[in-house]
Amino acid sequence: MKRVLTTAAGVAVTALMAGCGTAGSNQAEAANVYKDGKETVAVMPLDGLSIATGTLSALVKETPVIVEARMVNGIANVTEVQPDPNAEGVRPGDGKDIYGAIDFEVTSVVKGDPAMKGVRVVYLSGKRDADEHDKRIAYTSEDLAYLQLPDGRLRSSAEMVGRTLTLFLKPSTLPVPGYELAFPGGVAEKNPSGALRFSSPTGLPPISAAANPQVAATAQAVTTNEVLAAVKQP
Amino acid sequence: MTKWKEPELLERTRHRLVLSLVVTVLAVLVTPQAAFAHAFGSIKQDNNEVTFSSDEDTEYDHLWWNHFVHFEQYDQYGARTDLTAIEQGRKAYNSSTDVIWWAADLSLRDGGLTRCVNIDWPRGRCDSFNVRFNQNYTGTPANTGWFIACHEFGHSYGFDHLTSGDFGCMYPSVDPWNPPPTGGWISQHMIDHINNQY
Repeated sequence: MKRVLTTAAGVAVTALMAGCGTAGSNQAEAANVYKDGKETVAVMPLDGLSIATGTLSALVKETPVIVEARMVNGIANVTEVQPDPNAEGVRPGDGKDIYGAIDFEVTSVVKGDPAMKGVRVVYLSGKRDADEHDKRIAYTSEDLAYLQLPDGRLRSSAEMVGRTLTLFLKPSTLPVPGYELAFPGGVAEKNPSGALRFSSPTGLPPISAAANPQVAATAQAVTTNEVLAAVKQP
Repeated sequence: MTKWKEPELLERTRHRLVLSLVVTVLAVLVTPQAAFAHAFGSIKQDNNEVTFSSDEDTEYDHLWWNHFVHFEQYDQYGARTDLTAIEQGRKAYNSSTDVIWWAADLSLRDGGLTRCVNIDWPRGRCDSFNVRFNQNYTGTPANTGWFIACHEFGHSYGFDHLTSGDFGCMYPSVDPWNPPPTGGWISQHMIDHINNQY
């Protein structure tokens, strides 16, 4: 039995090391390509850097709309738009950008028009491949961490029942109407105590305490009441 | 039905218990550990020779960001890892250029953004990336430029955000007016991952 244990432990450690050091084996990479109906879809993250602001008050001041909401419906691929060939960064033959939309029922307006009953959040959901336009690159985004599956599709509303989200929004600057998240990770889940867990890697809002690694440990979670108080500040 | 004598039964039970323990230990060990699972993602260059070019129209934005891109690519990624950086002239890119970068008017909360725009389908690797830097932060302290350039190119080499350990320039957030003093450098952890991968 000792021999079996030693062998098993060896296999396990080898597997663990392989998973850490060379996560991108051909097999693992191939798993990022899948079929969605007739389409071949590759999943790629849309990734970037968040800019921190000084305080929660400043963050709230720069955010035009803040609502508590429940997810009603998600449409992964709502609009396809051909990029302007003269725009910066557009290569000859570039495929269309694909936008998605998520509809929410507003349960409480923290900042914005109090009559708001629903809101549509639009986002860049993917892109047509430059060489083969019938193939699709599906983006995963940290912004949508609670709403998106690892293969880029949106969760169904049934999966989101009972979950209250706080959305930090601004009017859409994308080629589709609606609202966008005001900053990366600008969707937070409210837990029963009122604390908000943002969809950033730290779970914290992008305020300056979280921006500096040297003081990251001192960054504080934010509650709904603190957001409300910040909104009410002159 | 087989009838077991008591010593045999005890021995058999012990074997089953030990086997269960081994399976449990294996399951725990083989399950991806969070710290690593988020360290190196699915977006990756298709090989270790990385061509890059600016498509920035505005002179000031080009000059400011190009400084950071050029030296991050050559002195950090190129010199300290197995990657080879090959800079193409401004707007001299072609269909096989790996990264085209420019400065854009992004949200005030975006420092930069990296995305794949063309796939190497059989391998699920990325043939072409677009990197956008936020032109609202052109002219901020130099450490902000180092940090953002290092960070966005880090995404193109396969890195997700890192919030603990040896995170180098892959921390997810930066205060552009008060950047960390060493945030623009790649870490040994990043070097190890790149050299294992490419």
